[in-house]
Amino acid sequence: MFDLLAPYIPALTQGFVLTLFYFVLGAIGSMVLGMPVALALGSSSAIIRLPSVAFVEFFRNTPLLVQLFWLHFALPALTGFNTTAQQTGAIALVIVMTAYMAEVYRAGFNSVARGQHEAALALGLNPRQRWRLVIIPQALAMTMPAIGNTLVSLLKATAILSILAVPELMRTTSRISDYTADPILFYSLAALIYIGSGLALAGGLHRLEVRLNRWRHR
Amino acid sequence: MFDYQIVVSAFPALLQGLVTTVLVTIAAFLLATGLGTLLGAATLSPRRSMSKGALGFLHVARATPEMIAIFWAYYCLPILLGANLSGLTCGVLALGLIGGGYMAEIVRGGILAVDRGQWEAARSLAIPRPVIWFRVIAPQAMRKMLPAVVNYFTDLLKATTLLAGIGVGEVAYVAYLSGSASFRYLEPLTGVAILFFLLIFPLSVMARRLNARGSSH
Repeated sequence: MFDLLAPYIPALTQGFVLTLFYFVLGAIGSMVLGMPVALALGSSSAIIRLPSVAFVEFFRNTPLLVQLFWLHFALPALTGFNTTAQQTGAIALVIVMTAYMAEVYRAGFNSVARGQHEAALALGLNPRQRWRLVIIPQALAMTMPAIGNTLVSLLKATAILSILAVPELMRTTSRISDYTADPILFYSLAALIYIGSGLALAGGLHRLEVRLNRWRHR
Repeated sequence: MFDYQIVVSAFPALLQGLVTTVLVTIAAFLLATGLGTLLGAATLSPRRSMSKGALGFLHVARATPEMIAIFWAYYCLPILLGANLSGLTCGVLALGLIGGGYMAEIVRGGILAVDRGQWEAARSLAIPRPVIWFRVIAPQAMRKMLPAVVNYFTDLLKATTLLAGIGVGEVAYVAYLSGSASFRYLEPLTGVAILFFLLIFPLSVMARRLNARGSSH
């Protein structure tokens, strides 16, 4: 079996590295961009709130595959500007995960008790300090499980980019499987890699969550 | 710019695609619900080998990308089983098995959320065990599970589009094909995006309402 596998290890490694690249890009992009969007979702001004609600709801309530098709094939008809499959994939992944992450953050903000806002206000903290020192740290600790779930879905979502022929692990596997006519070996191997990394990610995040909670209650 | 005529002429094909989407969703949902109920109950079994096994399946199913499961089923199952399986069957099996993991977690959470006192009260009334399960625990657990089940259903509806990867004519793939035939992607793809939003958004709102109602008392 190893003889069958050996010639394809470099290609599979390359595919997996690209999968990890998309994962890291989507994770950092969505965790950073999700914050301003989440703050906009809770804004008292309708001009700020409504567009952010529309953005989040639209991307959370349509399939990623349709978004990928739309951005890759339909949008150029409007803008006259083409993107490569890799660019489309990166853009779509960051946008859709930002929408999910913003909703996770928003739920976290809502879960911080009202009294915390009031206590911070009573201590004379300005709005910036209130959010930075009181609300956001508590919200983050409470939303760790939801952030973890979102990151695991992100890892799984990277495989969907294969539909645009982005040469990540899924697509690379398909090509090797077609070429060698040995789908069982290569698809099973790819499945094991995905499951292994998914379990490792979920386990790592869980451990981090336990440690954060222990630190918080000290 | 946006030519409605194209959506109108693609309508019969899109409608047929939608029927396939709904069919796949319902079939996978039934499979996931059946499997999830059994597995979810099994995770709470006092027999450790049973609960460990069920929990193991649950974790693996949740870590598996739908895409690889669909492709694995489509390319490997026919060889392993020596049977001719359609893309639709393989897709339903893949989505249903992964969904079984999600539903198992929902069922487990629902049962655990029912107050222990309910079980003890029923026991002290000498109600037989199966009756306790079906008449006392299950109805309360189901009410607690409902928002999560609706959320899972919307995820499943979105995941059915992945069957496009193995050439199943669900509605997103039909829209893509109709675009590639006419070189007008904008109209069918916009139409299908709006269609999914109209299907999924009301369900999401419903899940959120149910959740709010559940946590208010």
